[in-house]
Amino acid sequence: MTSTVTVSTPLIDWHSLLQVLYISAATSIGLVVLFTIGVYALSSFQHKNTVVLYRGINGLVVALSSLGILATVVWGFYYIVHK
Amino acid sequence: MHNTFLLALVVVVAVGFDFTNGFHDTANAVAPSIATGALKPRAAVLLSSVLNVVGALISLKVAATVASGIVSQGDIILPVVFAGLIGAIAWNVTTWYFAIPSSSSHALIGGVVGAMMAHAGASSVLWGGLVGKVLAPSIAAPVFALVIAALATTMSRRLTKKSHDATKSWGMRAGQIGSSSLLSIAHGTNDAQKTMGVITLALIANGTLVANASTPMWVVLLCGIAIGLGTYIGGWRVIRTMGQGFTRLSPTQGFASQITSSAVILTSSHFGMPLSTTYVATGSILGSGIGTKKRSVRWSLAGRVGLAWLITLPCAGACGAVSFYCARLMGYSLGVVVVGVVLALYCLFIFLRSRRDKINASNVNDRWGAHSEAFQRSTAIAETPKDQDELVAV
Repeated sequence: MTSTVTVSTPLIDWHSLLQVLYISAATSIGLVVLFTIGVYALSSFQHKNTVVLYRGINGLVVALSSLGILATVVWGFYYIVHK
Repeated sequence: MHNTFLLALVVVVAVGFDFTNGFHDTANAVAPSIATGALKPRAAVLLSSVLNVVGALISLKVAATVASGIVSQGDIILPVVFAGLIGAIAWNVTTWYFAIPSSSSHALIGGVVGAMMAHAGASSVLWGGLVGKVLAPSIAAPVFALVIAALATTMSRRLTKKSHDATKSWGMRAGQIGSSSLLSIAHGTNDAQKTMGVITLALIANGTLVANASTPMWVVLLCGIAIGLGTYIGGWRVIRTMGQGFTRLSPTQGFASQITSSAVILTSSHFGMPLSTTYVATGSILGSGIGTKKRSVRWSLAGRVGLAWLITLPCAGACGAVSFYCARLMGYSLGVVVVGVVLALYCLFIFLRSRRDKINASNVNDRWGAHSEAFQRSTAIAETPKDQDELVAV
């Protein structure tokens, strides 16, 4: 005995829409926060009274946040072009 | 011969639409950068125009959706595509004159759907595709953008509360150059492709391409260049509304809104959703206004723009349908030429009228309302010295 199951395609692709929301939110907020941390670290790095050790840490944070942003953007374009 | 002439005319009008799409939508990518002084107006539009061309070459998923998911390819004929484009151009030029950031994409889709209904009735429109692939993403995306931009602006504002104003301002402006570039590429990936999709439809209707064929490379290049040129001309009226009208943008807000718009548009393009980049950019700018301490947004202006969004599809559809009826009444060969000439005269009329209240690179950043006292009164928000301090401190 066989039974037929009818699968109807939903009018609105909620799955894709939700993916747009998740990916956009994660990317946007992540990039903005990363960049803001970099700007904050740069601001502390440029402060004349900052201790040398903290200046070094702030410099490292600026470099890491810049690299993080660059890597995210490059990976994003690679993903869009190749998949 | 007849078909070749009509096809050539459709391609010319499609490229014309892409050009208007470029100058109408320049604001989406560059308005925040110009408003905050991150980029000089001319430099901003030049950068954006080059990157729009780059974006047009990256992905073709949206072009495929427009070519196959909105109307039945079997029923389409060249005059339908022509009339749809006429409706879209007429709506774009009108909203540009009134400095309303409306959707070129909805104008295009509305125009084609209207003309198609006039030709073959409502059954020839793929309503499921129209609702699922166009309307739903277009309603959802600006809401996503508004919420995300508000969150991003709030977090950025709180994180930089104790940093030095000069460094913060410089850093965020520098970031805006990057985010504006990203947004221009995103715009190219979504908007240039809609015209590519329409030209592909015309080539299928003419029998030059088989149904469901992919977009030829010459179409991709032609559309990329047309949208790039349009962007370079710069739709200063809409740039002014986006950059100065909705809220007084600080570099932090500008950066957050542009990053949000880029992410939403690029992600949607990746899923083949032909959403309105204008709606997303507007949603992001409004969200960045909500993310400030005072939540200063000109809601009266946002309401008027929202009203224009609601009537874009039906108005462009009506223009498309009327153009198609006129072309059919006079016989397609003569009709399309007459309709084309009428559109050209209308565009010239609008252009001449726009010169009475000229907005260009030199006055695009003037204080909102400086051009019309009545408009200023109707859309004014409190701009007390306290608000100004708060905006500097964001």
